[in-house]
Amino acid sequence: MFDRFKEAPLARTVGGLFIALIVWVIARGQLSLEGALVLSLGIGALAALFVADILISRVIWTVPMVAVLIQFSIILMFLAPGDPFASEKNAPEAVVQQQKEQYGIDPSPFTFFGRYMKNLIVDGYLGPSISWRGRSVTDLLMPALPVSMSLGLLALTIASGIGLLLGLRAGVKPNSFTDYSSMGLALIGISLPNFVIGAFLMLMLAIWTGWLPVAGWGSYRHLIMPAITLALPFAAYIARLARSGAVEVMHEDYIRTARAKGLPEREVVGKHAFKLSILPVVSFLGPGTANLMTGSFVVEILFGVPGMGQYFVKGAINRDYYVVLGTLLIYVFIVVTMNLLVDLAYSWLDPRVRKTT
Amino acid sequence: MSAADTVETKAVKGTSLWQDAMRRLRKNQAAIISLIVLVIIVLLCFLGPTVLGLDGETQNTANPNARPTGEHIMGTDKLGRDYFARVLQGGQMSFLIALCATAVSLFIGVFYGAIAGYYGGLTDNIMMRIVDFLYGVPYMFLVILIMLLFTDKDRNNPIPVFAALGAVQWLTMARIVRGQVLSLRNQEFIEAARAMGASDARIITRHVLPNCIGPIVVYATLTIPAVILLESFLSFLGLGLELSWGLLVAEAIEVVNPIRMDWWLLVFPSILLGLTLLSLNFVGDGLRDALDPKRKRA
Repeated sequence: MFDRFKEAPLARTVGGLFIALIVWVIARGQLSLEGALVLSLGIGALAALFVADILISRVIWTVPMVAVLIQFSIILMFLAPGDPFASEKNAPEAVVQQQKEQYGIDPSPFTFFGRYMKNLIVDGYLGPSISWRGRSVTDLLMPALPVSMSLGLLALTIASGIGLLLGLRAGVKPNSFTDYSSMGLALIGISLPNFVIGAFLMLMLAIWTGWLPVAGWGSYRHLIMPAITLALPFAAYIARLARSGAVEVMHEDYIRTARAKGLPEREVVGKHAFKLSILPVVSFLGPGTANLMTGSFVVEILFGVPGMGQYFVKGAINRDYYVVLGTLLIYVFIVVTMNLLVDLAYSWLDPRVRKTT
Repeated sequence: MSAADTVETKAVKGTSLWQDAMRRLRKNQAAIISLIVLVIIVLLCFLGPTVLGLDGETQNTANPNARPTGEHIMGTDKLGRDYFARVLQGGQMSFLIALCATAVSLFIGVFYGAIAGYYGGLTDNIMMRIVDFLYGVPYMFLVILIMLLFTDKDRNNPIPVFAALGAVQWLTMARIVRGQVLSLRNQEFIEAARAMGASDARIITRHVLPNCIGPIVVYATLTIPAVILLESFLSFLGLGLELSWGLLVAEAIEVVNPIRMDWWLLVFPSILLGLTLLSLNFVGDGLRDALDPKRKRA
């Protein structure tokens, strides 16, 4: 029953502890001390015993690297000229000093890192916002997170839909007119910055025709243009990858077999070729999510969407250390989770990479 | 020398990898047209202002935001400056940034990848894990944090921008080079060099890297549009250069509103930016297909 654990007890213990730590940090803000403790240790223990190897090795690598990334970001921000209180012009030295103490800003990036990690690990606390006075980072980001997530997920869905459709159609008949036109379209999608696409959409759909609101947030109608803008370059990447995947798969023997036994082309492509064709696409979705986030910074600002991107950009410009680090942590968490899901999906789609047990 | 001799030497003359590639590239119409478009745009940007006698600096407050006319073929901006000249100057900056940042990323990526691939084992494992992890970090974070190191006074100085962009664009290059080096490092000619007592540094620079030149060139070509795109994102967020295509587009978007539509401010830099990126991508794809015909057939 505990075979997995017995194979590598040390790695699994460390991995389980790291998973418990992640759960603890997330749960600490919402639950009581005891509740969070029980929940995190329980999940950690279960993970150490039963979870797939890939998850454990991922976690073991990722947690230290996230710590290094935070330290590195802190060093960069401390090196940058200006500090969070630079806007208080002519404030006496003593006042600035007192404010720094109040917000826990140490003179050294290393002690600040220690303090930040202590806050994070002991209390699950992301710190106070410096430029948005009187609000904590959690207060700021919690309402923004679902906004960014819904925008991102919708964009991901649109992008996968359009991308797979174009790419598979092109890849099944390489060097045909369909192929060239789809790939030409995809190249245009890759080549235009998304704010240019967004601006033209805005001109056409909002200003000239008045079908959609220009910018803002509130109803589903506000979501359409930002999601399309965010999705199009991404759809283009997916189309190119799906094409190359499909071209390769269509030469496989088992496709010939499927054709030979008289299956209609629709079934050959849709049922047999589809799964393997989308492998390159699936493996792109991990780093792709990171790309999508880069795009979302721009799209959120262009369309005035109150998501997390704007907090990072404004936080960075105002040297609001806690906001920057908090956003960074949340984004990295999402990307790492996404990468993990991609790995799991990969082994499900392609039995060849599954480890024989 | 008889005629027969000449014929014979011609008959055994082989074609090099590059000659083969160039022959294939010439057959790729999209790539050739793109190359021509690209050359025209570059010439226009760098020679245009001088040859056509354009002036993007003189302000004419009596004639702001004017529609395109015979005198100002792309209209004028909010300070009455000739927009055509501004767009061309912005193009100069975009191209310069792209080349420098690509050079930086080329340098980091090639050496990082070569070292990881050549030494293999634990070194390789750790180095590539770092790359994998950085792939997962939305690179905009790092770019913005690096950009903050430079004060606003440096904004018209392109060095910080290209250093920051180059520093985040090397990951794919490192992966590609590592893969190539990994497949090369156990081949006989490397062993021979090692047996002759060549140092690791010499083997990497003189024997390994020259054999990876194809993929490096291809990927460098594809990095250029990526950098231009990234710079335009930065400009849009207000962290980029004082003047570039990205900045002109960003400024134009700010004034997009239903009441007054200064479309020329948006349309012209967008078209040039899009056309340049499109051509670069076509040329890069064409080069890749030309240098690696197997990949295309597969």
